[in-house]
Amino acid sequence: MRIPDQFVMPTGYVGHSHFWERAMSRRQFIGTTAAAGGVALSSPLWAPLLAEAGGTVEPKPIPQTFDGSPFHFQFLTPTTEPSSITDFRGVIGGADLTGEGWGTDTATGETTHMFTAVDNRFMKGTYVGVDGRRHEATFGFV
Amino acid sequence: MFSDESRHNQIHDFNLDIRPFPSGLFWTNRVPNSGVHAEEDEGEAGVSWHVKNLALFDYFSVANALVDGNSIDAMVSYRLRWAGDGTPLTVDDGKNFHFEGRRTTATIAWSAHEAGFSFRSDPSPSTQHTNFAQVGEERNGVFYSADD
Repeated sequence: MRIPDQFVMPTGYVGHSHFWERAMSRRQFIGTTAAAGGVALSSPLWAPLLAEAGGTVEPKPIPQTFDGSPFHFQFLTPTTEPSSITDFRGVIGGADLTGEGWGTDTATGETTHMFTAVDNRFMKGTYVGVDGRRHEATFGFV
Repeated sequence: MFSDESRHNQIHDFNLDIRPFPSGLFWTNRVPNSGVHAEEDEGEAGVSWHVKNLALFDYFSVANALVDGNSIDAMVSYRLRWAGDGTPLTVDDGKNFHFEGRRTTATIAWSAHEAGFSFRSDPSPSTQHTNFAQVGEERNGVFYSADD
């Protein structure tokens, strides 16, 4: 969720199927997990979230890239652009946070103290999509 | 997510994808409009963002995520809240974007689930630290200098 400040950009590319390709198999994932761990993951919000996102015209990434990499985003700082999408006008919030919590091995029930670093942002407003038209939506950077 | 407080040993990395890889939308996806709230009627003029069951990936480390390495399906839910106080912040790079809002502090309560593992954050403010947080209005691209 957050890239460390001192991070050195890696090289190489393994490759995998991406979000929308994999979304189609997620219902099976939910069922398998719920059966194995007894965790109620089949929330009613799951389908609407995918359906709403599926009808969205994609926005375009900002032109700036991070530190000479091909990645179109900026660190969250007092002088950099917080949005990850361009041709955008609206409300935006970003937070770079550290925290703590507890992880659980759902097979054994063993819990472990863990430490987190989060960079989450929302962008809510008007954007010009890849179709060249204006749209209204909320996007998350997670 | 790290096993050590110095955050060197990363064991989980929950992100949206980069599509198309590597130069497309970076860790960004549509979320419900209803998740963002101004909380001016709750005694403090804060902003909150609530997302439930967001489907994403656990890449296990940032290094692996940035080479589009192997990942597994995961879900996160969170409630992020930006405090109502802070200092005014205006940023304009002269060509790409203009931001006007405030620099403030934020807190988060979040959880994650994937096959064989779940996580729940400690929501106590005493265990959280804001490195940087901002909330406000931005315009960029074709809206950077547009009047409408």
